[in-house]
Amino acid sequence: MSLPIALAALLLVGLVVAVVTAPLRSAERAPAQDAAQAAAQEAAERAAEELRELEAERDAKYAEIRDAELDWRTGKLSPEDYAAVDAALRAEAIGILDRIGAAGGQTASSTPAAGREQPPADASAAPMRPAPAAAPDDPPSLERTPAPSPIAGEKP
Amino acid sequence: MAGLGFACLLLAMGVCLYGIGAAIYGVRAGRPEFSISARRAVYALAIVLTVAFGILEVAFLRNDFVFNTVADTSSRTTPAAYRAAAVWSSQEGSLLLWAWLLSLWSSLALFLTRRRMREVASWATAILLALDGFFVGLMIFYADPFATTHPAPAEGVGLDPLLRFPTMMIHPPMLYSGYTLCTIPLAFGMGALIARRIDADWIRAIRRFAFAAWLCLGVGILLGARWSYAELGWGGYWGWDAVENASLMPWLTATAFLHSLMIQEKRGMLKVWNMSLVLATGTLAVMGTFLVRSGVLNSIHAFGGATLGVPFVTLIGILIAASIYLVVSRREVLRSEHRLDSLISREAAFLLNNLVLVGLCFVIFWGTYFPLISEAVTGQEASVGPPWFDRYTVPLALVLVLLSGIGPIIAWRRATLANARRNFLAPTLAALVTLGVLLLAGVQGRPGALAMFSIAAFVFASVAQEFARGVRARRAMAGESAPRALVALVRRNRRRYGGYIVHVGIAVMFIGVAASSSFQHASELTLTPGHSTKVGAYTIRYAHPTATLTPRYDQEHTGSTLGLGAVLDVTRNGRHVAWLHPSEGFYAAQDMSQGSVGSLIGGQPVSHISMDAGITRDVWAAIAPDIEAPQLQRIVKIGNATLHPEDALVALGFLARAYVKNPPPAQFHFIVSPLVMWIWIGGLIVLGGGLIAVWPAPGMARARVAARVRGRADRGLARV
Repeated sequence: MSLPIALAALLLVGLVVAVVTAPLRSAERAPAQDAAQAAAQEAAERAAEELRELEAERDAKYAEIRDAELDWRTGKLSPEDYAAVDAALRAEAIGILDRIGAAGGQTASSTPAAGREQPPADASAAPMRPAPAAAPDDPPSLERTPAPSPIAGEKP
Repeated sequence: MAGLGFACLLLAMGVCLYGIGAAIYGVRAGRPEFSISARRAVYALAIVLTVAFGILEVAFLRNDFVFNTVADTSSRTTPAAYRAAAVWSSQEGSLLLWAWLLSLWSSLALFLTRRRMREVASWATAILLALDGFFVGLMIFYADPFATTHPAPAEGVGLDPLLRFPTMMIHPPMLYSGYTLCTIPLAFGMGALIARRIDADWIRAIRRFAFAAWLCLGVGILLGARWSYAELGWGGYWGWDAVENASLMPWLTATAFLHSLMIQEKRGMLKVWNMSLVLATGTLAVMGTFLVRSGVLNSIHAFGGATLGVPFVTLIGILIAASIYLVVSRREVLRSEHRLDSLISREAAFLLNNLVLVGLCFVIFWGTYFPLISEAVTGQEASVGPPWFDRYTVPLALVLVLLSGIGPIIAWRRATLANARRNFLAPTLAALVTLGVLLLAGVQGRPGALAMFSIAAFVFASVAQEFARGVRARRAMAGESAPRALVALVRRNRRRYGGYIVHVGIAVMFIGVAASSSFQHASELTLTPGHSTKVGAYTIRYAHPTATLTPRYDQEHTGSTLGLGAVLDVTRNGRHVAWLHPSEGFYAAQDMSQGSVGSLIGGQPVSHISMDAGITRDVWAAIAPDIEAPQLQRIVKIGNATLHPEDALVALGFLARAYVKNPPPAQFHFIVSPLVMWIWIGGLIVLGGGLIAVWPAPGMARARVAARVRGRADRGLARV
């Protein structure tokens, strides 16, 4: 192996060692924690992870609520079935929001309660009444008589 | 430079071993700095393998024949673009490509999940490094891409002529991207099982990579089919070849997974099923690599010859055993949270769709591995050909396409019979009308094809109905014009409507498959110039012969020494349709045993087909000229006896002129295939729908930006 190539190899090894050991060196330089501090930090990280998981559940539930509304508005669900499914989903979502609240997180539900529009008897025949103005990407309101949202986006 | 390349492999192995240890120690001992170090080891691995790949790529581009892989698969006369792609035409280079791509995708996956799923990501890091370490180990101990020969030969062997085709430059990287991306969900799935954390966050992370794997594998499979159709001389796009099947199987299980994951996300059901699908997809991807690289099954694709079978079988055995152990031992976290509400629901349709997809995979698996199993048990070779595969896959494919039309028009959770009747009416009518029209038009005798056309009409009508109703609902809600409502509807419901577009694409593809396989006209015969034959509705006349000599006339860069072909006049009802120019390329042999002239054309001949492709049909032609004809062989014999190798091209010039002046009868293969183009068009529609489905929604992108801004502001306030 020629000298330039050997130097290149050494440089690469040095780069790899620097990249890989950086977190270990940072941890060494950080002030030492006692057992209580370490346990508290670990608990905080677990709580943050649990909160992220609840938020992912919440977002998935919002998407389900929108999907159900889209199914109703495109005539795949009868008004009675939609009412039942929607109520069940909203109850599940409220349960998740309660758990988020208990975990100390902020919820995204801030739409004030409004009169709930009853689904028409025949979704395909009755004219669709326009919804009250709402930002397209607001999460669905989860109060007992929420305003219906426009067909909003779903998370990928 | 070869030494540096091998040093990179050794360094890569060291990084893998360190990373595996650091990841496991970090998560077991609760030392997050070691988990982070392990993740950085993956980044470092990507850097090291990029350097290694770059060294090999430069060696190919510079024609550095000291490298054995360069000498074996490239030459000075190979065009630069093909030289760049020749890196992965050898076993050694393709192993390096696999390891490199895996390191890149692993780095991306771990970077995107760096703040989430700490425990799961740590275990996934260890598993991904173990997989990459396996491939690096294969290169170090079995198939070294940096092996050299001194002194270097003056010229290389050249690229296999079959691989001198544009789609072959991208087909292996796409396929390998698909295979390597399949191992990301495998690793995160195993990690989730080990950590006992299967939750919504895991679903969100894993779905993206499963989708990317599905997309890349699908594109790779389609490119391979296109290469087979447009380059190989048999006129087909799918032959149920072992390597083709090896790529289709993980694609089928990935398709099943993407559908049933939605059920787990919504209802907390099918956890065992989904986890099994994830693990099976990753394992099938490794098995597919095993089939290609070990040469264990005969295939026109497989050109690996090294003894990689034992290490691969060991790895596959470990993956299968570990998967079974993890699923069984963690079954308490895989318990379903709900039950199926109704058999008339989208969940039920997805379940059925999953069963069909897995059934298809099982049939293909059995047909692909049966020869190996049979040989192992009985000692005798057995073969399973296209008729066997068609017998079982065609009915399943019909059911699958039908379900792709049913799913969109049925609701989640439950649907009433009255609603179902209303939603099914128009699509069913469309299917029946299509069937009626085809029968009245005289399209008969092919029940499978007729069924597929009718079912495809059902799919188109059901998706169109969904779009129409969605636009109508959107217009009623937001008062938008129809085009704006359509755009907004798709933008805000990308997964749903992107998925519908994918279904349309699949139906279009199957229309092309059904039509081209059921209504094809083919003919194999011998013709002399001036004579013609009828193929379907077309008359093909052999106008005159052609002959070309490299390098001056080899405009297609086929690398052939001599090309003999024909000009064909294609007409229909007396009207000229197209000119076709099929030829056969004759290549130089590896040794001089056939004489100075004979050796110039003594290598494996390769057919270069000619095709007139259209929306309604393709007219395809291949030629096998009779180079053994006495008048041509006389020239070769005289040349062998009288000419030195450096003058032998002169004799080929005489041979070419003799062929054009007095051509012997040539063997032709003609095919007229209806609607083949719709296979490729359908593939593009699938790709487009897939990209729409996976694109982040506008609200998500805004929310992420807003969150980052809030985070920066929070940190800024904290410092004050």
